[in-house]
Amino acid sequence: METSAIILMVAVQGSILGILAYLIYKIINKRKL
Amino acid sequence: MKENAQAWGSRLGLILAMAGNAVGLGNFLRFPIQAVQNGGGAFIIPYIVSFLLLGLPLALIEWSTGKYAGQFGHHSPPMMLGFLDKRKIWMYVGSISLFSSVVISSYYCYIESWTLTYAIHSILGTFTGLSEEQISDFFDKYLNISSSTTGIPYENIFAFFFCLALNTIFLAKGIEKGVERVAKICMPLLLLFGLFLVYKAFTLKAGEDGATFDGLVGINFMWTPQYDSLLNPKVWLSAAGQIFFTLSLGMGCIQTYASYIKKSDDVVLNSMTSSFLNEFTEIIIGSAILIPISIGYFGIDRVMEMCGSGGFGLAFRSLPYLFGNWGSVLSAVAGFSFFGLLFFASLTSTMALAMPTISFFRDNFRWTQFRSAIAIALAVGILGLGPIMGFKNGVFDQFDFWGGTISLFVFAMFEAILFSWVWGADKGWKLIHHSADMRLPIFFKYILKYVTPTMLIIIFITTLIKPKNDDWTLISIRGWELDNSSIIGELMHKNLGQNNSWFSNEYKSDFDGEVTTIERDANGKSIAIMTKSNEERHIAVPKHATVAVAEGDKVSVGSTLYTDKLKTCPAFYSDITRIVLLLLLFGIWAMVAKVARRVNFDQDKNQDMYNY
Repeated sequence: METSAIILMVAVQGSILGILAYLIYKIINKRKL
Repeated sequence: MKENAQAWGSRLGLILAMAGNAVGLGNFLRFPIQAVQNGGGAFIIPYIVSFLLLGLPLALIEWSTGKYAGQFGHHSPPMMLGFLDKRKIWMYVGSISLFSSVVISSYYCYIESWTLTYAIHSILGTFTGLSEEQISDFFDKYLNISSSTTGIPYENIFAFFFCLALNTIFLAKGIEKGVERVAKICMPLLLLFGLFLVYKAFTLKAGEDGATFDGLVGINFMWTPQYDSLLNPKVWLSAAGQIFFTLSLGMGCIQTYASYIKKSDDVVLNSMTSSFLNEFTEIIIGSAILIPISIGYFGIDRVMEMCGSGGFGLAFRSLPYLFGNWGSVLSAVAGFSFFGLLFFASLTSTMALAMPTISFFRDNFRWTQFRSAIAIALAVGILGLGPIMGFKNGVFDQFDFWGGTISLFVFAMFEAILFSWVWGADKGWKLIHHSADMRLPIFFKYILKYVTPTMLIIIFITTLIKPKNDDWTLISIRGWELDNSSIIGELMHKNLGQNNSWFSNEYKSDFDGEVTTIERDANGKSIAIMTKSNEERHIAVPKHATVAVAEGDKVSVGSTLYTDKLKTCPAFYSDITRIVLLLLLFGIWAMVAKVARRVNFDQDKNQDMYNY
């Protein structure tokens, strides 16, 4: 794979996963699942 | 709580149902095709921008409007919009979403039935040993109501009504026992099937299982940015359109689901989580199945060509053949996973699409959940026969254009203006954060107030007057040629060119050029014309028609190419479909008018527990 493709893919997918993980953590932390 | 009231059983159920509403065919079929057609990795940049400036703000507007109005017993969009502003015109604006949701349900449920049939055929091994052409013919045969792939007469109509019955059974059980339970089962299964196929796509190796290229070639293609495409307005409009479809905005489904949450429940964290869950399935799973697997076998050029006709061709004509290379067991598992994934995605979406109308009946006519579910099933069942029987005559496309595209933008545009300007962004901001588990940065309030409504108005205007081939350099003060898919172009039947009459016994040329060959094939004849711009166009001539030109003849726009007996033309079917859709809209407005005469929102306003 080309470097530019890897950078873009990791940045976008990493951000989505990171934010989703944070949001799920917030929900679990509120103990209101 | 009122006797007729319903509520979500758990936060997990609510988030999964909301995500299930959003996750649909758009995530797995539309998104990858849009990405390929709009600059690969570069598409993702306007896509993310649209998600932040259009998708998330609209989702927040819909969630908070739904929650607010739901506390006063208003669970359907016409009543919600009417509740926000006392002028009853907003009830009629709100009812556009009832129109969209019923129309979309009618053809979406049909596609859902394809996915179920294909999942069953995959398990039964029907596709094993078939050539690519045979599988493509299988799809044509399935769509043709007079033929059958299983021996069941009128099988596609049967499958459609089976799916409709399935939806109705679940919907009749209500929010907690129906919608929520289905989402809790379907969403994890969908993710499981999706992750399995992503693994297969990533590990596809050239030379193994008949593949010509590695799966990574397709993934590289999907993510390699072509930055020059960022300057093209078409790419930005496509990205905004995709965000709209993928988050199920402007359909009234989000508001309706949100109207069943409690006053003390959060909106910000829930809406963000369900929206990001949708993005996870779209960007991470949806981007890594259809295109990488197809490119692994067909190569980039052929897949690019196939993408021109949308995602259905690749999914239903090609993928079962490609899975066939993986051995009998794995191909059955892969086929079942792929079409099962599409089935679960569409089931949770069609259920959500029925809820605005069900809630309208329940709230305003005091119907039970069961009676309301039956009523919507009857409406969808009757309306759905149009796209099924008129698929090849463009009825399906008309439903999609007017009910599934234009009315969504119109509804969302007015909804955003109402929330941010008529009702007020300050009150809206307070409403969004009422009982919220997290706060949004303050700049988001200004996005809600200025950016989102402006973007929606721009999208609407550009869709109205889109220039030919989406070429925005054509825009001029002296006018420009409209694209076939612009609203005005569609109204004028521009896509039909010279052959835009209701009845005709001749077929006219749409271009100037010269007839190069006239060939005979199994279905009749084919006239090849070399246009003045050196493109070869092929015109199919029906079996019993008489060709009116000879090889070497010069033809011009409007010249008769062949004559046949007097027939109904596509313009006839398009216009009849439009009349039916207009009648449906007027019927909904008549119902809303009946309700509007007796409803009094002032009583609710006096007891406003939010103190606005």
